[in-house]
Amino acid sequence: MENNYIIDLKNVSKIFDDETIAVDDFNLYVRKGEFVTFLGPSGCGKSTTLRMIAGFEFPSKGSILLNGKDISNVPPNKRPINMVFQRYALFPHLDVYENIAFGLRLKRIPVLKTDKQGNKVLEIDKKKIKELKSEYKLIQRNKHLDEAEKSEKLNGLQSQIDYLKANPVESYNYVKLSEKEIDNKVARALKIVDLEALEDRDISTLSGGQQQRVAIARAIVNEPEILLLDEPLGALDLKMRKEMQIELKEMHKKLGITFIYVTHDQEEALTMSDTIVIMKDGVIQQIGTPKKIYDEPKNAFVADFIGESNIYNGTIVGDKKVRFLDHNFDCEDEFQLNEKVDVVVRPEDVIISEKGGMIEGVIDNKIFKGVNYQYVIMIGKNELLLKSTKDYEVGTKVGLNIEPDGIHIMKKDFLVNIYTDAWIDKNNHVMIDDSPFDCDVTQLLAGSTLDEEGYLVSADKAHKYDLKDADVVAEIAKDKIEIIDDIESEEAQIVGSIVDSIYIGDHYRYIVRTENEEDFVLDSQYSYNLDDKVGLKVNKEDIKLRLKKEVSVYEI
Amino acid sequence: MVKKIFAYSYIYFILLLMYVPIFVLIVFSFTNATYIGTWNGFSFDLYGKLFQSEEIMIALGNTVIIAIISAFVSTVLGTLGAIGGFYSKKKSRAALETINQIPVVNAEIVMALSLVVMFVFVGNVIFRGANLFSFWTLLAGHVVLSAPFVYLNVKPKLQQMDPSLYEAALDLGCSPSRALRQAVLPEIIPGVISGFMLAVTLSLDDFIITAFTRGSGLLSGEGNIETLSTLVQAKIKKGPIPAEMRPLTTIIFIIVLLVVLFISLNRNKNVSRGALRRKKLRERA
Repeated sequence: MENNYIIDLKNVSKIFDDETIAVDDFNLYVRKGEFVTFLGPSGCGKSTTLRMIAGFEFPSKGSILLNGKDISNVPPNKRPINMVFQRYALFPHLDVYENIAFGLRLKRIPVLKTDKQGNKVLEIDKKKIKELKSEYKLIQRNKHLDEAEKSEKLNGLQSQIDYLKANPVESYNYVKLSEKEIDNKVARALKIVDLEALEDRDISTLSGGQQQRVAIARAIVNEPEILLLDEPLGALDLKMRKEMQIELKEMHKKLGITFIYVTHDQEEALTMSDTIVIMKDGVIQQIGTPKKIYDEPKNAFVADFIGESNIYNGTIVGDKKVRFLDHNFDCEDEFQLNEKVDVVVRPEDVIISEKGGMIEGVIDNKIFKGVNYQYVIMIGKNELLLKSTKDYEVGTKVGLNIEPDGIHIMKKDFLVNIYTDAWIDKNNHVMIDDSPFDCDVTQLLAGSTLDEEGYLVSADKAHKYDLKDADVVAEIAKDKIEIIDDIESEEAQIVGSIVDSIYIGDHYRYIVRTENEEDFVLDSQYSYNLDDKVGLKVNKEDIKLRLKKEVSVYEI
Repeated sequence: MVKKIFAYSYIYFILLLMYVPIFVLIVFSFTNATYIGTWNGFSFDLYGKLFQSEEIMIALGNTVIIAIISAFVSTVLGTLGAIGGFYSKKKSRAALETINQIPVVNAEIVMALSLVVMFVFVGNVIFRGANLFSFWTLLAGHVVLSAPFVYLNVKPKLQQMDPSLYEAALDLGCSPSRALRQAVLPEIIPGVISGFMLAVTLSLDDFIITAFTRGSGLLSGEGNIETLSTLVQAKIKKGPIPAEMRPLTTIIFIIVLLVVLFISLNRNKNVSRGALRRKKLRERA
């Protein structure tokens, strides 16, 4: 039954300025009382989705249902939904008490209108008609709806308006809450967030954590059906953030309200949520419980974004057997023979020993993390991240074992080549597989430019960033890589040999492997033989980059 | 040390150039000598003459009426413009700001002349040769002069404000217009007030635009509207500055001084009336 869902987003899309697609065909239902988190890198559309649920943006396509009723075009002040803003947005001219009471003072309680004999008074609901009419106009102006959908919606509204005009209904007087009621509610909200002593304080005298609590109290005092939280802990320091995570989770349990939470912090999402929605470029990548998403990521992006992981290119070499790191491992997933796959191994699933194992490597790096050590192991030219409580010296030769249930295999998404360990060199080239590629680093920060010294300058000219050695994820679409026959020519940015070729209808799909065993998947019209040495060329504008850390880390 | 010397020399320089002449003016408003420099003994004669001079009183009245009305209109326009610009898209905001910037840096004479040309043109073409020059053209001139300054005074207050305040108010149940009044306006009100004060000052001592755009009306009746600046200008064409202007400027200076003192003394007072009300409420319960 659909009635179990408090909010239901159906094929919701948001297009800005007729061109930028912020959210693309978003489908999600949320059960009453659930804690849902939208997780993704900045610019992935998670905040836009939240703002559509709040009512600050209206969807260009699709609909949002609240308890089964379409609220897509209802303004925010008419929705039983409240939001905690990223920078709290408290009213500085009011004290703590008045900030929390703000929503209550605007609230009107409907009281049934009766005549002197106590009979109900029937009136035509003019207010509702007015609301429907404004919604009608809004839909009429929407350029993104197709004609059929538009006329269907408009007809529906028109018949509602006609019905209301013809049928008088019970009418209500709207009365304010009394000071006493407001006082009781505010006192209760202050108690929930532990701020009883501060009700007379000015907002400017509060610490970040206290302001955060006021913002939460101001939202929950209105008893919303859904509480929206837009990166509410982003401005707090680490310790405060951990504390607030636990408190928010407890508050959620106590209040029983549905929470929709937006963050780019994967750890926050894992610890707090019942359900995580991972987004990238306006598209949902995966929906699931934290455990499911961690253990069974759907694609390399999710695996890379959630938790720490080792991701390798693998090939299925037999029944439940996969080859990566030059070894054939047993695994639990079944795939077609010779299929190219992504393999995810979580650092805690690798068992290290000095006695040798399935594969051997040398410890390259060691960091003491308190509960355990984090090692980076070089296996040939591949890196492997693992965690262990045992203490080994750097340089030790170790053996590694991976159990079948520690290997997660994902169907390879052949649309783009993703290089998760790329970095930017001092000439603003992106280093993929130790070869420099000309790229446009200004895409890492919207509106930015490069100055003469090669530093990235933000759009408002206020910040400068030195991207040297910045770790990035580089993506190159498979149809953007060109094969250069002459490997000595300057055009060839990287050289490799063809290790795989499949004929697909009208073109070949090649996998070009470099000396360092990095693979480039590409499409080409021309025929080459296996083991041919070829050069590869990628145009500057076809390399998509994403920073692994926040851009602010590189500010100078 | 050098910085200190700079700071002090600036202060003394300003004191010398600004306050000494005012001080001299005030002192010489208390004697009945026609020329500054001769001291005929202490008297309030000039103050008496000032209030008896119909000419000056009419000019003063006109000046104050124009200043208050034009400041009010430009404050409303400038504030709405700043809010509108702040919530607009980047491109339209940039366009608005450039348009707003031009009257600020433009020479006043250019503005005055172009207004005259426009009023004559509109009068000839649209109103078939009617003379438009009146209080209304004068008001339009003063609003054009001061509205951009109000905009520039309100803008920084909007930029300091958390941009989500408006949305937060909507989220808590405000209608859009109420959200502007209850969430945005309290944040920018200092800018609005200082914009209003600036508009009053600009209008009070404006000469060029006044001289070009005025017509008949207000307290001057059938004659051209005379303000303090046009009156003084007319007087000094024929002879010395009228002695009654000395007590008048003294009075204006003292009023301004009192206003400034009042504002700076009240700036940091913050009485939480809400807290008191709640205390009473709970005592009753």
